[in-house]
Amino acid sequence: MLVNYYYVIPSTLQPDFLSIFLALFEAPSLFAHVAFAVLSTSMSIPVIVLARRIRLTQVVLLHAGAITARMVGFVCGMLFMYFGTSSISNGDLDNLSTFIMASVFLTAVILTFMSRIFIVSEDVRIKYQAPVPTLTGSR
Amino acid sequence: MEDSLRVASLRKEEIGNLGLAGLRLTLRLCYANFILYLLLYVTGMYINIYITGGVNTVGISDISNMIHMITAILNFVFTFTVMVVGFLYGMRKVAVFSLGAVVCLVIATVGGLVFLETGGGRISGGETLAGGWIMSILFMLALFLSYYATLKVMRAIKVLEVTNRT
Repeated sequence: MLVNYYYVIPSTLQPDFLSIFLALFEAPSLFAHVAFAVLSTSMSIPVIVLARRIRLTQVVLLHAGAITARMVGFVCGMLFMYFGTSSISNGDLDNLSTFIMASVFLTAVILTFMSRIFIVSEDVRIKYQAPVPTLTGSR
Repeated sequence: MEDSLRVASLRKEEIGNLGLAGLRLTLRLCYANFILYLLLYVTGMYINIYITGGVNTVGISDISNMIHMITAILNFVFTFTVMVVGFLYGMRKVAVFSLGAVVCLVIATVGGLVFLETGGGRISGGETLAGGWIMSILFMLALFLSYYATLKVMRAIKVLEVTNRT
């Protein structure tokens, strides 16, 4: 949101991948935004590993979907900067890529939210239906 | 042994005294609230990107703004209802999370009104941007708090279902 309201694409930005990628590190607000996106994406990986261990397929699929959505969002974020450079300056495609970026990031949030539904169900099932392990380890 | 352990865990659960049917109804209300949050986000993003993205401003009577505001009002009504249910039927966490969401929605609405009243555009000045920023971040926080309240309602339903209670 901070990026949304306060970040302005520098007029000197060149429309090539390297310049756009390096621009992500120049503005602190933009860098923080990208860092949080990367962090939230990487946090899905241990969830997937743990969910696979206890065969919670839905959780695995939902987090895989969230990672995919964030990657699409990352591409659209780069496109937003590309179409916003002074030499390209395409307002329509700039708006469209921003809108897609915002939508897919929200999709990622919804998918991770939904995964909690299955985690809660499984937690309750294990707590109240599965056999309770005793101190000696026998069931 | 197993039964006593389960009874002990059951005591820690926040089931409340609303009953399974009432909890299911509350959960439906929570889901409807999420659809409203989604609509709120999409209309907000539409205004943000397509209307106020450049030098244009948005007014209180613009149709997209009207939809956005009506959605926010419905959001408030639904969240407030869940909060009251939480307080009345002994689900403290549901009530507290929903109360947090209600407070966020109120402050976010004030932020939104500041945004509209001080110009309603990107180039309208620092006060407008601050109002918009507060509105956006608090609506998002309200969504998170409502989500946690929903999870607590859902957990209570699952516990009642698994332990064959009504």
